[in-house]
Amino acid sequence: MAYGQKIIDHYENPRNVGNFGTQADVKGRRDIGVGLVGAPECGDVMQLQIKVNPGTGVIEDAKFKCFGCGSAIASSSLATEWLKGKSLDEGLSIKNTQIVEELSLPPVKIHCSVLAEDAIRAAINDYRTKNGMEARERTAASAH
Amino acid sequence: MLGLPRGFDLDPSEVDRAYLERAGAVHPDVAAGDDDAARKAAALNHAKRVLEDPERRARALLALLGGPGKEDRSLPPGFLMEIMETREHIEAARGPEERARWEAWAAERRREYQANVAGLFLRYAETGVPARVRMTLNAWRYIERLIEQLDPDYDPARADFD
Repeated sequence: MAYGQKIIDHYENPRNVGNFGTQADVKGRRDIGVGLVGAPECGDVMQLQIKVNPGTGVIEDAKFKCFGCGSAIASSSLATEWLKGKSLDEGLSIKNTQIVEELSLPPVKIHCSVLAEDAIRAAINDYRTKNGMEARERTAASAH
Repeated sequence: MLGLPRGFDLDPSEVDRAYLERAGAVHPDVAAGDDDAARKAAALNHAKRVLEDPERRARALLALLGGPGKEDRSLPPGFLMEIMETREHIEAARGPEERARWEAWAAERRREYQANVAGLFLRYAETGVPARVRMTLNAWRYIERLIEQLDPDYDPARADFD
């Protein structure tokens, strides 16, 4: 199957791999949001952590850990790059279809981009609820 | 399609026997140029592969029984966190002995899931059991994926990019 250069680059040189601490470490940290998601279709698991500036509400840093296929790794790597410098609302507006487009994912790998979008939403909502804001549901425009 | 009784516990030799009984008539050597026979042969091969793999057999049986489909993504509480932590431990594992211990751990989980599912299918008609089968199968998938990736030759790029 012919994959594009961007996806292979993200897979071979994944950006921002790691975390700001274990789940237990970051549980009490209000500047960190954690999104832990899985895909029961394939058994891949992905964790995304965001570090937010409490003053400005801007996502200053993002890290991911993904045990999955190359497309899931590339999707989460791209997600961390896109999140940096965005506000929480801008982060929530990232759609899996944008990831599909950027990485030229084939139809059988669309669920990997959905997983990355789920992780973004989960991490942002974890930050929001930790800081007394209500969680935001997936918007109607989100493609699934 | 193979005329076997509907159930999770299957005798592998019965699968073989039922398959061989039917495969002869549609074998390409016998039915060359017969499109219908070729389709039937492919379907028989597929059925055999599904039945021989306990996890795929369980999924197929749940679908056949009209149980909850893959839109039901439920997992036991805390499961994802446990699997993530386990994955990180395995990633940090050094040396063949530590790896072998994780392989044994994973094989034991596989046996547990298979036994749990077998038990649940025996009392499938009871209230709440179909949903429990679905949840158990969802969790089992993560174990199978972990086993697949424990293989030192596993390369996520190969699974994807070749």
